[in-house]
Amino acid sequence: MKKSVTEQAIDRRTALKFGAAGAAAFGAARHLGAIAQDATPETTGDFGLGDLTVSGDVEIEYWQYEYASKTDLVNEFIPEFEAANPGIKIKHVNFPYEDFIQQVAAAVQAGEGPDVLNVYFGWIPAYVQQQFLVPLDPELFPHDVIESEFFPMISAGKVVDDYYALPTAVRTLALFCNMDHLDAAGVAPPTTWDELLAAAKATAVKNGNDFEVVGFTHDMAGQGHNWWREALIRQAGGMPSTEDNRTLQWTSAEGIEAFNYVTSFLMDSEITQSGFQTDGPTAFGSGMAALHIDGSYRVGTYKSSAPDLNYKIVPLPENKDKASFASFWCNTITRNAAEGDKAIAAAKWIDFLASADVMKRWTPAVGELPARSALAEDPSLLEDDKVAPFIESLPYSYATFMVNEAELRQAVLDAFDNVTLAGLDPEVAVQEAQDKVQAQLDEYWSSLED
Amino acid sequence: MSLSLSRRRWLWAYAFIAIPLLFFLLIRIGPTLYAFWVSFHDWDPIALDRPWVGLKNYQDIANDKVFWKALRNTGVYVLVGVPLGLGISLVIALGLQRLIRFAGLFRALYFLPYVTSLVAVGWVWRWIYMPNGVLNDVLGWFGINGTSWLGDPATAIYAIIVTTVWHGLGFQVVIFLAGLESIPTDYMDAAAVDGATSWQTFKDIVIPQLNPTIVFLVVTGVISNLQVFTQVRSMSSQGTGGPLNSTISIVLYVYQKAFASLPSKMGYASAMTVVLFLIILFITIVQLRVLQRDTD
Repeated sequence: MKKSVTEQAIDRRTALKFGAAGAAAFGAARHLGAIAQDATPETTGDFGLGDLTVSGDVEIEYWQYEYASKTDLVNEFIPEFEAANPGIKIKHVNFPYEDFIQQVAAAVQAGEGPDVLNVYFGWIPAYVQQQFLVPLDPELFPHDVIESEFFPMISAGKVVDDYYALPTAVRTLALFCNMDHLDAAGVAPPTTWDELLAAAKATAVKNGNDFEVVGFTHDMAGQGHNWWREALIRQAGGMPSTEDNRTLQWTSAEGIEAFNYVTSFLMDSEITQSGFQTDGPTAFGSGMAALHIDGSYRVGTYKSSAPDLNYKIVPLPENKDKASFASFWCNTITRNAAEGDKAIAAAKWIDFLASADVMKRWTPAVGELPARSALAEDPSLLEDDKVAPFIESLPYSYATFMVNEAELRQAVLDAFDNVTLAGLDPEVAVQEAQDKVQAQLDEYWSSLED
Repeated sequence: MSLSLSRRRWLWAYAFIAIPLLFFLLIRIGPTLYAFWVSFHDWDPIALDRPWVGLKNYQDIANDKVFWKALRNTGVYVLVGVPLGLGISLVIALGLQRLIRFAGLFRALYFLPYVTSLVAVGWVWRWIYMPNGVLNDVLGWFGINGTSWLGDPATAIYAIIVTTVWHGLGFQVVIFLAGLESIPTDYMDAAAVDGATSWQTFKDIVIPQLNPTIVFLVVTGVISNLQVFTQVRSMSSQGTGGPLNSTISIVLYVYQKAFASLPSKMGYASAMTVVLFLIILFITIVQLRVLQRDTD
């Protein structure tokens, strides 16, 4: 069944991009345009690509790491999508999360690999530099639509003038409060920087030199480094980098103020301890930590691993401003599907995966948050008081533009370790980290300009 | 042309050897040589081109502080880990050799850690070492204030070495026992008749007779410590060789550059493996020359 496209612009663009066969297919019944859009079945996405059709049977490979609730749901979606889009077949390939980078690299080097890849947002800039991803066609995915319908964090998937990815779901950070410990100390869940510090002090319980309960988890390697970079610096009134993502501003007065705020927890031997219960999520999950900052996905973990944990979640304590860190996995089109029917199939598949209908089913099944701003007010999603604070944080949650995620994280961790373990001056330590990451940013941008 | 019987035997022997040899060439030697080739490129598996950069990766290694730190740490793993492991396992082997009752049971107990997955071992030891863990509880009974063993740059590497030694003990004990049991009893009897003290017997008979065993254990121990990876990955903070690179080993650093970060720097990582290969080759040759001597 061949349908028309709704706009002539798409036709022109596809003629250039997908070649004559594709364009002929789109042009076949253009007059049906406006009607066809209304008649579009629910399973075809929200960008109005329901009318794009492939010229023959095509199969695309969709790669996503193994995570039971995600892969099960996608396996449920595939037949629905295929039924609504005749001629398109999706081959769903899964592999262990730990092997992500190797698996993709090995397959690509062997001349194979995914057509559509579900990727961590922080890896997009590197994959773009390698010319592995192709930009989302602005005729099919207009920038103003993306920017008005999705949360601002999605800009982390934009390089220069192009968007490369659409997420199904996102995650934010919030504060986990163990109510048994807070009640015992007679404090309410904190809402400001000062309250957080006071609550952490009040809830810590020590027996001699040993902690029985830490007031706040010492977890820089977990979410702590993100908390400083994207939440605290902004809350102090600063910005972690310039708007164009080219220049870091960690050493600004706000950056240092935020940094010192974090170390004031880590270095206070009456509040917390590095390595307590091995890591932050474990310490909080075992009921031995009063306050802990973590992502929305942790709610699902605790549901099964610590069902009796009496805890509440509140948005991150704020200072001059509100801010939280956001992260997401998103769907990208690789150079394997740059042209022809594969490009059409890939565009339709990521449109489908980023549709409001899919998001509504995704949040309850996976525990991640919807990426479309309209859904933030969906009452059914706000019912769960463990999920609501994360959704509430979405409009002011930011994802970092990173060109080398692993080394950026390491640089920040080293800055904190240098101060808390080696006694280095905070300004020197932050400067060192900033120089390291800035050098990578400079190299990145100059490589794109070549 | 007819072949003589002996010649036909030769041919058959070579034919049989050829298959494993081919396998070995393809699976081990081939990729090793390929790594040499990759090390001269700016090699990113995903990028469209992988330009030849000559010795640039090697020059970068020379200026990479983390690489030197990893090299130094690897030296510590070898120089502390190998003697410690050999010393303790020899003492245990000497003890076990004298056991008559339940000898098998004790040997099995010592061997047990060796058959346990190093990742699982690493995680259990993380729990032992954590600030509120068992080790500090025990130290507390004696009034000693423990630390966060894996969280302190001064102690983390030694904490990992202790775990490595404990894990490898069973293997070394078994090899030592085999060595001890192959010492002819005549020698011991003769020494006893001559009135040698047990220290003299140990120094002048046991140790020289154990020389081949010691050489084997030193060489394999040095190589495995030069390649230390799993325990560092599973025990150091977030598996990155921290804190402050105090535990990072060369192989872990290679892994991080090649497989754990994007963009993947396969050329750079390959150059590091070539350097490590040359180091291992050199040390092994020296060891075999120095340690190997004939006993009579």
